[in-house]
Amino acid sequence: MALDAKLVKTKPDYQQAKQQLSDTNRRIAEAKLLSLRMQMNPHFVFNSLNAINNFVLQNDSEQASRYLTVFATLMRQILANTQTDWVSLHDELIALRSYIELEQLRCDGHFDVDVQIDAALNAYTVQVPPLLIQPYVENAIRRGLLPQLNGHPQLKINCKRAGNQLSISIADNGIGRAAAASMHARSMAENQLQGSQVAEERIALVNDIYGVDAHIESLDLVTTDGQPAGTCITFTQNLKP
Amino acid sequence: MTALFVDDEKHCRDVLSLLLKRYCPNVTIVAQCASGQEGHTAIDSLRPDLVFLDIEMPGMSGFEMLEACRYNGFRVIFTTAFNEYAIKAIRHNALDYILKPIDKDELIRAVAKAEQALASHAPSQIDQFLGYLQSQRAGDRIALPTMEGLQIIHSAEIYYCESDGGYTRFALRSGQIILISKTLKEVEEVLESKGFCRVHHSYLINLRYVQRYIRGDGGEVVMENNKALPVSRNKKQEFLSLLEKI
Repeated sequence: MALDAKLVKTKPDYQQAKQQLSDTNRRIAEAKLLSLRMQMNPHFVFNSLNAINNFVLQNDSEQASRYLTVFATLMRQILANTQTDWVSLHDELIALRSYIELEQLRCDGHFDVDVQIDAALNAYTVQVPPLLIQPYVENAIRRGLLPQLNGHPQLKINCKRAGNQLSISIADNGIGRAAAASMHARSMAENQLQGSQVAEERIALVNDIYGVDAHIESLDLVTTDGQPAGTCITFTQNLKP
Repeated sequence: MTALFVDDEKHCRDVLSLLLKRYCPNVTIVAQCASGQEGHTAIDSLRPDLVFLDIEMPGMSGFEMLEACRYNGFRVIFTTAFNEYAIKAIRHNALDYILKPIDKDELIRAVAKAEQALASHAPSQIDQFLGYLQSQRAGDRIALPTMEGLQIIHSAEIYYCESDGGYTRFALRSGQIILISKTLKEVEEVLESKGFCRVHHSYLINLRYVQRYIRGDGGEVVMENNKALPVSRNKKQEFLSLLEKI
């Protein structure tokens, strides 16, 4: 009798434990996601402030004020990211544009930027993980475009809808990944460029929790005669209902 | 005092040049370079007293640029936005750095310090710093001079070293024994900072492979390969306190 009663009791206990375990796993995943969302290259932050300080010292209050507000816009978005897993594409693009504008300031306008958004996308309702693609934009600028000393270095961001999917492509006409890798293999600066690894971890966690089938594809661009012509990174995810 | 700066970001060069002109009138700027490559060429030909050097630059980092310089009789002040690893290396070698955005008081302090060092002809420490970087990069690898040439091994490959007169025998984990013509004392100087302990006048052991210690007058230490080695009475305390740390 006693044994039977115990056996009956075990089953709900097991179910409960299983439920608890999956709750715990989810919380761990969420905590990890939070810590990853907050990362921004400190090198970028302090150099941007130095660039703004330059305007202050030159008594160019107009420019100082302008870039200070751009910096504030980006910081506001980064802080907001700690509160939420999703932002509208509209807000995301504002943050990305602020980020890019500060990078352009840092390198004295070395490259141009062009951001396109497909008319089939409603930027106010489409949701994306905040600043997830920022590290790829950072790589495109710092590893692709800045070392590019020929032609007109250009960054192109294109947001498109394909069926039930959102795709954001980040294309640069920089030096290409092979040349960038050989430059950075020698350089000790490489530990600064771990951003895309963090992004990959975030993508895995976002998929675990929300099942949006997010992924990244990388493509080496080449000219018609096979010379490296830059890199195109495409982020794809299912549109969230 | 002549100064040169190397920084890939123009706004950094602008701020530095403006602050120096405003607050450090003794400093004459002789060149502003936008890359490590430009930097070392300019340093070798202009031989400045002082170099402000950014660390994170595409292509050639500030540290790599220092290595490329043929002339190194200048003072260096690193300028960096953020780099814990680099700052640790700089501090370790008693060199100077200032953080970006640059604070004028910090700049004035660093320039005054460089001026003082220059006046007293103190060594620039750059050679020492480069040696330190090299040893960091090499990690724990050491080069053993053998009959045929050099054998490069990782310190983790060594069980222990045994003195044999003016020679030292290395017992490796692979079972290989290497005899080199250096005294155990010389070998100890290289390995003591890498987790090795001289337990006996004839033995220098790798602490990570100690399996057991057997009490005795000095006692005995048994290594992972079951080899037992004697511990001298006067080395016993030092050895036991080192063991407690692992």
